[in-house]
Amino acid sequence: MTKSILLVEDDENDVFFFTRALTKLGIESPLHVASDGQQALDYLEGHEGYSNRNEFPFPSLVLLDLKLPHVKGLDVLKRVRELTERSVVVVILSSSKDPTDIAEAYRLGANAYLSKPGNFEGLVELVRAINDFWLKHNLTKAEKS
Amino acid sequence: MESHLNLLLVDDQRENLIALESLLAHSDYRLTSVTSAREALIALLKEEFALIVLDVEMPEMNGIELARAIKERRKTRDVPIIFLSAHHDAEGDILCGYGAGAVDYVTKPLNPAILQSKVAVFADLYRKNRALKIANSALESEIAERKVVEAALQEANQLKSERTAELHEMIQELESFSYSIAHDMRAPLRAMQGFAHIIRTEHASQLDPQGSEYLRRIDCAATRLDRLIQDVLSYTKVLRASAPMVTVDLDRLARDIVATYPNWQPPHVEVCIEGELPNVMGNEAFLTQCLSNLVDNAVKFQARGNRARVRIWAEPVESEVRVWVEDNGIGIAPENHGRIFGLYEQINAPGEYEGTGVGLAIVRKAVERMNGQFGFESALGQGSKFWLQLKTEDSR
Repeated sequence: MTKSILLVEDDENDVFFFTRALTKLGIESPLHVASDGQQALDYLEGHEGYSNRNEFPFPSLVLLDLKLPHVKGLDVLKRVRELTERSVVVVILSSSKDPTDIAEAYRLGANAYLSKPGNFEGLVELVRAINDFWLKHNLTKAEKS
Repeated sequence: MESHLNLLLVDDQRENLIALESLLAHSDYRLTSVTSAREALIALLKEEFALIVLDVEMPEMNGIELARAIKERRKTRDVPIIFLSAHHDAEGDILCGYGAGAVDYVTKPLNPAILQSKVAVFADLYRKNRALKIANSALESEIAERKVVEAALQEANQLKSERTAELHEMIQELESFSYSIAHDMRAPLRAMQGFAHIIRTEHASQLDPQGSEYLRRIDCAATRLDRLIQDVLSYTKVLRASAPMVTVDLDRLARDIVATYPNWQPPHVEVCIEGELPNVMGNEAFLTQCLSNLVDNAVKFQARGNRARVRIWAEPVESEVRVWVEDNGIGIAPENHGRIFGLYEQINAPGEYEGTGVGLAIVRKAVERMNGQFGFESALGQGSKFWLQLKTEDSR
């Protein structure tokens, strides 16, 4: 099964660079984008137009921005952790280095907290690391290998 | 005119009254003479008296009965009475019931000197009482005035603390507002830098040299703005962050910081920590800001082609520790010594040295928040020596 990524990001430039970094690294995991917190929840819960899991597979990895319109990133995280039937890796990808944000994210069950790099080279490095660790090597309890 | 004392003379014998009047004729006294208890009571209703001289033996209501009536009335209760008594022994007991000071007696036949001196004693007592009352009422009105002032003061204080709380809230809102603005500005900047990078790496063949130069300038400007925003964020963080004071292993911290920066390594630059730096009381995040900003300045402000040499060492100053960062850079002219700690202050011509003018302001604020001191020695062309003075565990 190919592992897919759900990127929850409202900044279209950041989405663009992320996509580009994937392309540049030759990572072929399907990428789906939710541009706000509500959309992310709809996607994860299979609501409104996301019910077809062939087209919108449940992701192996959620990359979650914190500053999002409508439903904030931390609220998305909280809700995701309440959905007990599927476990999913949630990695925070935020420009905030605020200690309270970081502490709150881990308290709510984030698997990792990554700071958005300031430039494209940095982003490429980070995406490579994310891919290697979370998609290649990391095992989650939903899958038995 | 208030010095006149009203004396009430009561005797049913007119000739006795005349004798009393002549005995007590004195410019201080204003005498009112009545011949019966009834008249006496009427007089007491009309006026205030300092003293009553009262014959015991009178028809209808005698002196003792009259005295009882006087003492029962609240308004006249405290008016002293001198009884004129024919039978000393018999009436002495009755008189005792009135209590000391309020009542006295003089036996008949009258001894003028004794009566005069007793009246004088009561008159004096009355005067003193009156003066005391005046003083008391003055004091009371002063107290009342003070209470009014105190209440006003309290109100003003209340208002002041309300205002202060409002201001604090406003400052906090502003700080968090500027923090989030600064933060949000970084996202579009990342986009500018990112797209400039893509054009430079993937579309370079379609650009003429001038186009490439403009692109480079966009990139530089974006990088500079990003650095400025990061510095402002660091500055507000130093302002806002809670900073518990703990013992910090300064030696380990300084060596870690120096090792982290690729630009501070030989052969271009030599950063040397001399001896072992002691433990200090401080905040690790703040100390990191201080040391990295100071060393960064020391490395940056160098004459073209000069190899930066930076020395860091510590010395005890009384019970505290002074940490020095010395460079061989361009130094600071005396006329600029007062400016360098200001936010956004840049001494050198724009573009000559990269920077945002926030670094030393951060250091100053961080040191201030660690209850330390901060200073420097420098002269143009002779390098600079910056120092931080921090408390140690022994300082308190």
